Amino acid sequence: MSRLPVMPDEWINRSHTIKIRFEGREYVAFEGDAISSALWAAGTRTLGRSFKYHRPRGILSMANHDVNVMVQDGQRLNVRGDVIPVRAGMDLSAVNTWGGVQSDRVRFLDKLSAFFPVGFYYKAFHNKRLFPLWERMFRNITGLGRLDLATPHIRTAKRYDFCDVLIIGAGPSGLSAALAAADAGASVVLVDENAHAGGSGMYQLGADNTRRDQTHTLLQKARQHAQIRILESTTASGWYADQWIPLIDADKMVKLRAKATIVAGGAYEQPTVFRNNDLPGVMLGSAMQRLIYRYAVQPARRVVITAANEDGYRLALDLLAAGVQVLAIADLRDNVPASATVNAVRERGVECLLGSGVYEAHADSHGELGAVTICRLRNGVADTATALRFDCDGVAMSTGWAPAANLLYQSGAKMRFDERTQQFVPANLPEGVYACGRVNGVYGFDARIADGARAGTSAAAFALGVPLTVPAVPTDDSVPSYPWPVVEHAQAKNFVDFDEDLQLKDFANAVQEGYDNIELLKRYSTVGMGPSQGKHSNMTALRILARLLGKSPEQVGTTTARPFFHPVPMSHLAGRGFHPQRHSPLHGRHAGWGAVFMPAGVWERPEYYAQQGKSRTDCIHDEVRRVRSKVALIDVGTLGKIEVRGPEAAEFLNRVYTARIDLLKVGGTRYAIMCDESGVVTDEGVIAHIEQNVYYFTTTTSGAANVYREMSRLNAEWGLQCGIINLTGSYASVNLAGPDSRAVLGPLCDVDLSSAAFPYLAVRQGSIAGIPARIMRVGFVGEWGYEIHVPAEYGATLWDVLMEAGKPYGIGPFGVEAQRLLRLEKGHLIVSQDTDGLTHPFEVSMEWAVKMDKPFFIGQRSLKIVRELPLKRKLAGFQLPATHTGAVPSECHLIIQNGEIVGRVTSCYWSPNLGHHIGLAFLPPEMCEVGTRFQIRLSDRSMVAAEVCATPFFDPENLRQKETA
Amino acid sequence: MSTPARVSPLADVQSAHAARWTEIEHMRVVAAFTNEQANALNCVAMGDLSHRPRAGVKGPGAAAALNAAGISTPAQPNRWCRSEGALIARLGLTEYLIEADQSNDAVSRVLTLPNAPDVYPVPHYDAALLVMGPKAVDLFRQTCSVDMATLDPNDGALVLTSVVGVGATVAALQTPAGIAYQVWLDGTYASYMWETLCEIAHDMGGGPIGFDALSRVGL
Repeated sequence: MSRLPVMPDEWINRSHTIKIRFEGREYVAFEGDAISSALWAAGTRTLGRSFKYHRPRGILSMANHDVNVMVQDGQRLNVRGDVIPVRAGMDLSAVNTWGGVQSDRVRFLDKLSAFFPVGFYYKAFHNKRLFPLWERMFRNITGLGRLDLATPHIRTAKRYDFCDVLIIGAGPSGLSAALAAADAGASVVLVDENAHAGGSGMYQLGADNTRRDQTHTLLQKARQHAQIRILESTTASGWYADQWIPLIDADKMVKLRAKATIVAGGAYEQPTVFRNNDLPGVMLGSAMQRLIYRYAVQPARRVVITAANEDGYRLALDLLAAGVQVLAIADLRDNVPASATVNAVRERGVECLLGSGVYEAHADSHGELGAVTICRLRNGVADTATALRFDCDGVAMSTGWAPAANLLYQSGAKMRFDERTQQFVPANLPEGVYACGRVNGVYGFDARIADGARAGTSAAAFALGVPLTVPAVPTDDSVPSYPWPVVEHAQAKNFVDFDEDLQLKDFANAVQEGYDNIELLKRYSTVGMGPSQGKHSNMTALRILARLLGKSPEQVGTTTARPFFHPVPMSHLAGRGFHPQRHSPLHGRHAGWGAVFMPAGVWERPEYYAQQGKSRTDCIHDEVRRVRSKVALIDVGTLGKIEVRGPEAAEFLNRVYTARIDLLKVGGTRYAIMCDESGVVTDEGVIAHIEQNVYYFTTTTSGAANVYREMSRLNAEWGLQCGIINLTGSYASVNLAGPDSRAVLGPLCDVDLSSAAFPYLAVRQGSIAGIPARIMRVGFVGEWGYEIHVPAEYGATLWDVLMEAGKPYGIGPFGVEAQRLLRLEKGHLIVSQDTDGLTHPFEVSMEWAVKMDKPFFIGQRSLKIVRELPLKRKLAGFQLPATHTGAVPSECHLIIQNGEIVGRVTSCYWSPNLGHHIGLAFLPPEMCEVGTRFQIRLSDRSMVAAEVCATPFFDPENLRQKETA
Repeated sequence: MSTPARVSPLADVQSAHAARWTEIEHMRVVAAFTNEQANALNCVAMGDLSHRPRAGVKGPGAAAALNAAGISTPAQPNRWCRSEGALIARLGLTEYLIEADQSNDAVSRVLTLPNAPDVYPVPHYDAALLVMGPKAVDLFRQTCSVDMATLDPNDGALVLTSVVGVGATVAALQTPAGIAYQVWLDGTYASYMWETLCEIAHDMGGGPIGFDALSRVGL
């Protein structure tokens, strides 16, 4: 092989050479070379090994689908050699080898192919015992590259983009469509997966520059058009609802939304099936043309073409122009329609063997193509008596195409099989979706350009909402694909799927074993499941299945096309991650106090406040002691905060909560729980009757958004005269708790804090240091305390004021862990920690909070039924012996009775105030009697003895809330 | 008793990069950032307008109540308009956001609307950001699925959308420095959004600008 003289539109820059290494050997390439073109130009034809049999493989398509020429480039895996440009310093190795391409230690597998029949995976892997053996073996000999776990996280940007008309494919029809749409006033984005636009108009020339000139003219117009953006090296990789198309380039994914989309992606040339059709040197005709015109590389010196359409003759002229000797054209057709192209080939003296095909390719001493045998064929069966042998180093396959219709299928298009073109074409496209060119079954060059103008005008009319005159498309009578491009051979190795090394016989065997449906056949044989996703095999597989079943391709149908239809780097999918985090208005204050933060849903909350020289546990216990003995402050701003206003606000809340909200007087609060329709406890909080027709209440931190959403839905359904306002982010909230809390707050506040004026469970509005506040006297942690809610912008100021005022009393902050321990001492449950998705109020001793005599509340009907049934479990308090020193139970550790699981722990802490461990657990009702002993199984399967005890564990008389306490 | 200090929802995240502070409407506002890019306004710049007083109201009687208070309202949902200098945003069918600077009493009038059975006050202590500069649309294209280029300040269109994964209201405003996009969001997400937008803006060659820079361009 060698470089050709300068081609008019070649992609290489001959003034800039680049050195790369492949399999340990140095190569000199030109800038713009693909890895494969650089290697091929240097005479290296074996570029990789096949996945299963480790057969030597070379170039197949040069169209981004050469899955046997995937290489590892440092930390980058599965780099496609046929399209990825060379870069200085590349050190490449083929991925499917064990010891290198030339000395692959498992190349003997080709000789053992009889032991790897179709469905081999399923037959081998059904034995669980042997699975690890197979797994290890396959990871060693295949693996698709070696993953470097030290690969850095690449934060590729993600982008959104918008246009009126998106056109996928910048070949002749796509360019024509773009110009038509843009001329009509549409903003157009034109994407092409190739490094340079122009498509087949720049390389399928038949040694005639007319096509290239026309394409060139279209391309220049498009580049200069103000309404057209051309994105090269960009793949439209999938199709999602509302014409949401991910565009993948080397650096990022762009999520493009178009008003109308035109698929002009062309067609994939299909391999011809004959024995040894995978030898390096056998390639698609279009691959040879790409090598010539894009990279100025002579694909071979002596070529045989197996053809079945006019493209094969056009290829012959291109090869001849490139100085290649075309030994023969073996045309599968018995009759070849006369045309200027065919005549030109014959005039050049190329031998044309009609009704013939390549029966077998022969390897040379390197395992690469050395010769072919051509025979007359009848219905795919060779007459070996007519065999002719040609010594050659290249075979070009030009027998048919398959439409690049993956995106059309994903868009919801209905396709039909067209007998003339022998391909599926759109029968019914969704609104705003158009197709043109080869994917639309139009192959003639002028017809493709006209078809593009039609599609472009139609798409612009749809996108802009204006009527436009749509140009007509001339009749196209091209016959691009041969219905049976398959040659049988007794010794097989006539490959249908190069990704998975599937041979013709494998399909017959699969059907014989009962996998006679296209979807089943795919999964059993793995056809189309390799990295090329069937782009070069699905159509042939479908034809084979149709013939085996005596059906038409239309009856057999196609497999389901799903995004992404072309591999997308994981880094592109991950992109720049957006992981929203919420900070309370006091976040900076917590940081200043040395808070150690913990995640609480999307919030960051102080778990505890670190003190130098003290352990986490000691810090938490200090905070607990401060609450019980002095005064402390906790940020409770993450609680959901919602207001309901209006004449029917009480009625609304009465229906949502299980308590009697209508009886709640102005100035009072009530703890309340909320159930779903099945009676399961879903949320809890404190409801405050602020003023006439105004209720303000809290929800759990995690439940806030759901509660607000559900309430909004219910209000829309019920149509009560009230409004719901989500104040979660608008208010800052703190809980000032401890015996000295009143002394700290009193001087700052214009509200009478006396027990008589402001009793337990009351709510008052006033101001604290001039800050408007809603103050509730509640006691989640079991101490005299005030939950204070202020506008968010005053939260930090309030915190500062309280901390300053509390200094003489030894005030300090306390975090979530201290709060959890304190509330446990009081026996207060936390919904979603001490309850689960099945917990109803009676299981957690909340009968008092459920007013079954109300006319209605959500869950009431279910609870009426549940109430009549015997309880299966109950939440009970327990304690460990004070002498316990070992491992401590934690939530979800199991309660074991007589070897059976009978319950589980929901909370457990060591109480510094009580001097032993306390907890809550679900137990069978018969085990809930105080004093009952039971066993808890820890993660290490050791058992811990516990004993049921009464709750609250601390201050059972609630004296801490009373003046006399 | 002195007026209590208001604290911006962005105060925590901005303080590490604040070169100078100023006080507006009893709120400390960053006058200049240490990492302020001189060229930010020619690329993409982000300013903080959280100090501006704002109030909200919703309910079937909200529009009538505002109109009775002398505040005109947009005729269409998801639109904004000016009423005597105040910005009135209609968020959906019956909800309104009113924002004004200290020279305007529109917010005070909303806060003192008489009680009515179908009018519900909605406190707004949001974070408010201003994104501006020639690459502002590019910044949104990396962070939001709505095409901000289609927002015409003269139309008064606004969108309720998601920016960097956070629910936000965005309006295009015509300013002396060109089109700017004001973003309102729940203040508890403000630190996250500011950090994320700053990181992306920095990659693009822009970044935050303080109140002094905003003032220089008439904002």
